[in-house]
This record gives sequence, structure tokens and C-alpha cells, in this order.
Amino acid sequence: MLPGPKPIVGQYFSQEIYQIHLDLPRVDLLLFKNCAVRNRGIAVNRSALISGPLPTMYQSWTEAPVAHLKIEHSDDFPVLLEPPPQRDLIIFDTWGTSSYYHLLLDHIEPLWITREYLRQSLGIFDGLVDYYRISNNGYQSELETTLDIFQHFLGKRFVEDADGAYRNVVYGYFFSYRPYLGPNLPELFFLNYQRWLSEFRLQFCPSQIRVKTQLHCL
Amino acid sequence: MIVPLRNNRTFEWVDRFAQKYSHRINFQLVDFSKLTIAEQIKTSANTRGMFGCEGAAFANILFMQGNSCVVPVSNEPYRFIFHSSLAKYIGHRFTPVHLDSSGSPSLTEDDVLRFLEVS
Repeated sequence: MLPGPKPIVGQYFSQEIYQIHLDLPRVDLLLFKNCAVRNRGIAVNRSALISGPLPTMYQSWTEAPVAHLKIEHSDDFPVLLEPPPQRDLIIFDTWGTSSYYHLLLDHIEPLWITREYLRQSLGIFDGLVDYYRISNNGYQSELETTLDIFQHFLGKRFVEDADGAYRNVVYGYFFSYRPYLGPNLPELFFLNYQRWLSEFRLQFCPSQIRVKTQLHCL
Repeated sequence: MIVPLRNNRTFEWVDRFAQKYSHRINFQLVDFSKLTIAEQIKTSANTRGMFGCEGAAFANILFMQGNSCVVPVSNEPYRFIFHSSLAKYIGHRFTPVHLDSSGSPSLTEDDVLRFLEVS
């Protein structure tokens, strides 16, 4: 007897996509709920509408931003999500990571802020989080210690080929901005960025951790 | 006072200055590339300033206590903005030293010394 059609249980493509836009400094995020990532693509409901360009993480000084993530409609990308996924994923790209400065300030710190924002503001990304570098933007040079440094701040190394089902997927980050954007752009100051920079220092700077402990003791 | 060691974009003026005034300022030469990230953070957190050839090591001013002094030296002044902006966000005191084409500094040695000695 031939087996019958495999029953589809649960949703197998993201029916919930949220676009998050903030200013000062600018933030563009896409948040996908319950979806599958494979081959640099993400499955969404065919009816899901994404207006405007996809957010990108890094805009170099001279080149136009590139969206690396492919949006695949569910018919082309069927994946069964049963049982429901429990892991979360942040997708990002890098540039200039042969420099510790760029690695820390352009990528690691913004990713940490993104995760903390989602935890604090939306109550998500509070469990296991995976990190997927979807592109190095053609910048092949890399610090030998990149993964160690990344793990120190984010608790886990990033991968360069994600494949699986996730509860929450974020593409884009806080902030695709850094203290100094580039030699051809004006220097700007954002109180919102300063607040998150302080949060980062409270977490990782020994002197700030002492201050934080003392405040809690009062 | 940390003086980061570099393999490129180095300036003799920095070495001469650090040697000349080592009796007045406790300069510590640090090769951050030889340290783990935890060691880099700890080393940076335990100093009151960073002085020397501009480069990626100045990203570690992120881990220094507020109101530390930051004195990068370079012949490419646009590079100072990487660090001046970060210093502003954190609340560090920032004074760059721009070397001209002949290697002469934009500030007198006394001015630099005064700024470093306040730390």
C-alpha cells in the first residue's frame, strides 16, 4: 500500500512579518515569526507583503547597500515546522572585519543592542539565539580572533550557513550607524545611541559593572 | 597611560615623546593583538588614558572609565573622528595630535604633557 499524502501540521511559513522603523539614529528591521531559513533565503506566506527595499546592515562609504536575504514564497520553499521551533536567529553582514574597530563598533555592539532591544521592548530573543553572517560583503580579510571576540560579547559564535526553523528571525540591526559613519558624512550625535552605548558598557566594562553593583546595593 | 603598539602607520614622534617623558608619565606599551578580548578589556579598564599612533586599538577606549584621556597621533586628521566621536559619547577627554608632512606635531610637547599629566 502506498503511503498517503504526508499531513501538514502547523504552519510552515512565516505568516507574521513585522517591519520596524525607528529614527535618531535610523533603524530598519524585519522580524519574521515561525519560519524557515535555507540557502540564504527565508520562507514567507505568498500573501505576505513586504513593501519597500529590504533593510541592510552595512552601507559602505562609497557603495550602495545590498540586501543579501532572499525572500522565498512558501510554494517554492515548503518546510514543516513541527514541533514549533524554539530558537531565534539574527541575520547580519559584515565589512572591514580585519579591523578590531569595525568588528567591535560596526557589528558586535550593534548586534548586542539589537538583541537587547528585542528582549526589553518586545519580550523576545530571551532564549537561545543563533547568529548567521549572511555576507562579508566581499571583504575577505578577517581577524584570526573574530569568532572568539564575537562569542565573548554575544555568547555564541556566528555561522555562515544557517539552515533550519526558527521562532523569531531578525534581519537588520540597531544601529546601522556607528559613532563615525565615514569621512564623507557629517558627524552626528544621538542621545538614543548614547543610552545604548551606556547599556553595553554597563554589561562589559569592569568599572561600569562595579558602578552597577553599587547602585543595586543602595 | 597605555601606548598601543602598531605594525603600520607608526610615528617616530610617539616613541621619542614616550621615552623623553617616561620619568613623568607611566607609559605602558601594550600590544593588544597579543591579548585575548577579556585581557584587552581588563587592561583598558585599568588605565586612565591612551596615547599613541592612531589605530584600531583605540576602539578599546570603549572599556576605559569615563573622563579618561584619549590622545591619538596621526598624519591623517580625518582618522581622529573615529575616536573623537566615540570619546564624546562616553565622556572621555580627547585631544588629537596631528603630525604635518615633516612629522612635526600640531601641539607643543608641553601642551601634550599637560593634558596627559592631568589624567
